[in-house]
Amino acid sequence: MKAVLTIAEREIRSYFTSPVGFVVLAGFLLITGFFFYVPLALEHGTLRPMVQNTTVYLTFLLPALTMRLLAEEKKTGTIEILMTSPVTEAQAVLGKFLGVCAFYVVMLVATLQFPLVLSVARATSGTPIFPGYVGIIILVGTLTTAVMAAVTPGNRPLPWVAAGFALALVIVTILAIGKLPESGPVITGYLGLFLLGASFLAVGLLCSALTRNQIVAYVVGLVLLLGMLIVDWMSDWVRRSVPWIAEVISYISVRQHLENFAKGVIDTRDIFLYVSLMVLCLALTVRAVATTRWK
Amino acid sequence: MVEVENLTKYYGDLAAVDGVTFAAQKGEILGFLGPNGAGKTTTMRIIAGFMPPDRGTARVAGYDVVEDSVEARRHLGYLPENVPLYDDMTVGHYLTFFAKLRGVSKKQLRACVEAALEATDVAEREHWLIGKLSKGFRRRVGIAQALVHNPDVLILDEPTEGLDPIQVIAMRDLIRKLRGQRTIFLSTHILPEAQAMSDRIVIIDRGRVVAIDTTHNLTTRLQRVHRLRVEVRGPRTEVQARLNALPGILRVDSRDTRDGATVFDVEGSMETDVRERISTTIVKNGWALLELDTREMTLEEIFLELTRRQRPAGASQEVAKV
Repeated sequence: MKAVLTIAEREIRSYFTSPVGFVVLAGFLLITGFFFYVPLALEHGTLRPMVQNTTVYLTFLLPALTMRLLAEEKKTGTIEILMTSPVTEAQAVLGKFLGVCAFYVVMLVATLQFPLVLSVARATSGTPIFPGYVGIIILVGTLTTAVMAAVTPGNRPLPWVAAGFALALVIVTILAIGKLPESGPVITGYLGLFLLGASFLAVGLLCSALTRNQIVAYVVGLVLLLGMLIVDWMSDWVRRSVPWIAEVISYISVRQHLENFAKGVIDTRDIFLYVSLMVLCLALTVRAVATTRWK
Repeated sequence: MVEVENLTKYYGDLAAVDGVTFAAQKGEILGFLGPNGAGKTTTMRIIAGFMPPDRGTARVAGYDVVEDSVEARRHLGYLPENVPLYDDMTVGHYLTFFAKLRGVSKKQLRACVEAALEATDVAEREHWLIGKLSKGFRRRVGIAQALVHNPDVLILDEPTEGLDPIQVIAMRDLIRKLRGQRTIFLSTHILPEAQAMSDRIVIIDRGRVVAIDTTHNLTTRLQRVHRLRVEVRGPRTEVQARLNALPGILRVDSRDTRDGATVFDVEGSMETDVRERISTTIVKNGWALLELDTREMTLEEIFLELTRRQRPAGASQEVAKV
């Protein structure tokens, strides 16, 4: 377990010392902010549109986080030093997976500002526009922090980011005197987003284990995840003609299972789908790493 | 410390390593010598536990690298040939990471990292990003990585490859300094390197061991003629004729030097010492003897000699290129 955590820690650190982590984080916040703000300004103030849209852009963003995990180690040969240290393949793969999951959690935590803004919106429902501005100010604040940290190489960026987020959260919490409305769906929505993202990351990690080329790892990961979305859309087309196929698809569709979480429903079937996808991909990744050593 | 028995590894049909057997004692520096593609890296990767052999066994500190892989890996440090390091980490973080990964306790962590920094002379670069280091420093950080957990066995694949002459000398000193109680197993395709750095040499060619011995023994064992270099100021043809006529002299070649003297490369038989005869003959004739020097066989010659014996006649041309 110590080896797993040691590897995970190194991976998290490297997301904060390389531009990839910041670019993905900034892009994620920008798009999430947009999908949060637009429905909020236009109509009802809930998180559901944001949670649902997230599936689509996570498909594009998450493989960018996982693509280097193993492909880079194989290309540069660092895997030789890593795997001649006393760690098993499973420990190495799990460490890397935990590392990237932790970074994803940071991404999700960064979006906690949106539900908080939402609660402000409810608390001061007379002025619905005002909280939106607050949200944007906070978004800009966090992005600035991220960029500041990214352009000062060598310095430790973590304190910068932490300070940025802390400031943002303090401001919002002070504003959010009212209680969080509809807190159930928000919490389950985040749980669903985490599980969905983690299974996407597992798919991406597997792709990274299969090649030495990071771009190939990204594209294959993207295609697999897009394929999962397309299958989901297909279920709508075939619902009339062959209903049982639509039925089967709805069982394995990563998107439809997220819907339940967004509604506030925790179903073990939904959790089971994501967890089994993760376990399958991680097991295959372990095999793939073992095979590269065998050759 | 390192015991290798009948190690065999195939890449497709080609046996990259073919029945390699040798052992290295505690505190010994064992040089692994052979041309590129002889199977050095493959053997080292197997011993380091990176890939399993197809046949045979390798043991590090008594642990089988396949059966007790993790335990064996705890006792070794390995630096691959092209020094693959994490470029986005600082030297200090990098060493701390591998020390932790290899089970150094929290209490000893700092001491171990500092000891590795000191031993390899990279302490002043501790806070540098590895990607910004020069080649020589990079190599030293690679070695620091291999010894940060204080292993019994160090495996260094081509530790002087790609370094400039000054760095090569520094690297040799460093490796000798690291010896202590450790077994160091290093490879090189440069023969004087092996000679300068190791106690014993394993010569490998096309996946097979062709000789294992100390450098001194290798030279004397294979030496069939006494080689001398004689520099004389005198009439070239006459001197050559006189030398040729001496008993015990097998062959004399000559060439003129720039300052008017002549160098004779003399081969004498191993049974008699011909040096006295040569010097008296020259002095008696009134010529000037400028230099008389015994030449030992170079490792290049040893290598060619050994591999020529192993190979079929048709393959000798290929050897000559080494």
